[in-house]
Amino acid sequence: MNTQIITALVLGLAGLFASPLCAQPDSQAGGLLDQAARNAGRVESVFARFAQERHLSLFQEPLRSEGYLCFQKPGRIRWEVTQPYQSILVSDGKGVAQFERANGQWKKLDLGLADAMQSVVSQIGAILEGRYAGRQGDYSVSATNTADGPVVTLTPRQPAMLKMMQAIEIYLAPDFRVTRRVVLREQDGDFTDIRFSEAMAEPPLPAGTFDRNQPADLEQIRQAVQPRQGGSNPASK
Amino acid sequence: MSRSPGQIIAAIGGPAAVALALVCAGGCISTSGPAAWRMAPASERDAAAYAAARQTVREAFPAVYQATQRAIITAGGRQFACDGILTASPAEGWHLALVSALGLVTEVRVGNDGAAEVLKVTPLFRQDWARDYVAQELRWLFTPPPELFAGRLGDGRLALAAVSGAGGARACYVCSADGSRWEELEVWDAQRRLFHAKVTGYRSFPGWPRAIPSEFELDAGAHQLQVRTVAMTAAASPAKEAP
Repeated sequence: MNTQIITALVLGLAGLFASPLCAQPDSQAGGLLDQAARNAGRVESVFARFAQERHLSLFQEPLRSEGYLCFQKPGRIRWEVTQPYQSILVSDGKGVAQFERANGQWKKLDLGLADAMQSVVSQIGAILEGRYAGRQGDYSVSATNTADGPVVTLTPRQPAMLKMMQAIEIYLAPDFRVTRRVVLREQDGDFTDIRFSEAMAEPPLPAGTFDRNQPADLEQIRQAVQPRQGGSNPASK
Repeated sequence: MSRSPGQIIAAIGGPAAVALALVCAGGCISTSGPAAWRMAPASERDAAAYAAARQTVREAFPAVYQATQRAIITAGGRQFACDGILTASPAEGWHLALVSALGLVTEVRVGNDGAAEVLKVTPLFRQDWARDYVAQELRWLFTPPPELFAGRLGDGRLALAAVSGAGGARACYVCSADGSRWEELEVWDAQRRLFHAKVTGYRSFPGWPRAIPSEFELDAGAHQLQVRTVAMTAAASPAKEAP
């Protein structure tokens, strides 16, 4: 497994998960990350919609996909693509599975690189649970304020990592409560742009959301997390 | 204790498993000859069907387009999912990038003259695999050669045979009896079968009047490939110039 890619993915997704927890702005990047790490430990679950574009320098049009992200402690993650195809990558914290839908049927893959994928997911889970600050040594961190909100940029320190990844940019909402966007920039001009919307903290994710053998249907999850009129949560009763 | 290639691959894990699986794929190609290709020569009576079959195969896809694909590669008993982005234009040829959850896998281009070029090599995929497998399969599936020699198989279906000028490989495009549907493709190198592909999933996309074959199920012996075209835009802008 390529550790540079793992680390890039981990930190990219770490920013994406941790930032909803940055309750207070901090002009110092180190302080901001410390606060993100502290707050990350308090979140039990996340549900958000994503739209991802993979920009390749030799193509004019990006590779687009969209779907939903679910996270729940300890280390449970589900990344479901709904367009232009249907696919689920899910970890229950102990192992990872992938499902593909074709001709109206879900099919579980005999997943290759499963250990490597689980390693990535485990690291993401660890970060989501508050062990984020320990990775700062691998990156130089800068934070700037823009008209649209603060932007935190992580730049790899190690030359080997720099060959793969130029920077990870985390775009936060002005109130620091929501991550709007994560951009993973590679050295050759390629980049991945992930935009999040409809993010919910502490959604009542139904049983089976992270089942590696028969994951719950997305529609069931969406109905479960849908806020009731008046703002109460169906599962918070 | 001896182990089968599949056991060894399973035991290794990681990118090395992908590497080894593909190496094994190269060494496990069927060695039987193309006896199934015996076909009756084309007759005047079937001229319309042959013309239809040629058009079906040669014009299966628009001249200029961009397609998004989802591919499942099976090697050594393990499966790997990738996204593909494919552009085609008369000026640039065919340009394919494969992207996995772990990053870019490879980028290849096949020119109008059939020449394959590996544009990007990554730690996930060796250059010779990109050239020998990805580019070759792209070339035969999506860029049928202009010279197709017609005949009719024993089961009544039409067959269009082609020979690669560069490597001497031979291909047989099998169509329905009336020539309206492309159904199979088989490619041979000398007496070895490189791969066989089932061609299905005819569906329409915006901007192109005909249904295209959107699903390919390819069997190359030790590796299999399922490709689905999930989005397509006809008359897309051609790819940028390579640096």
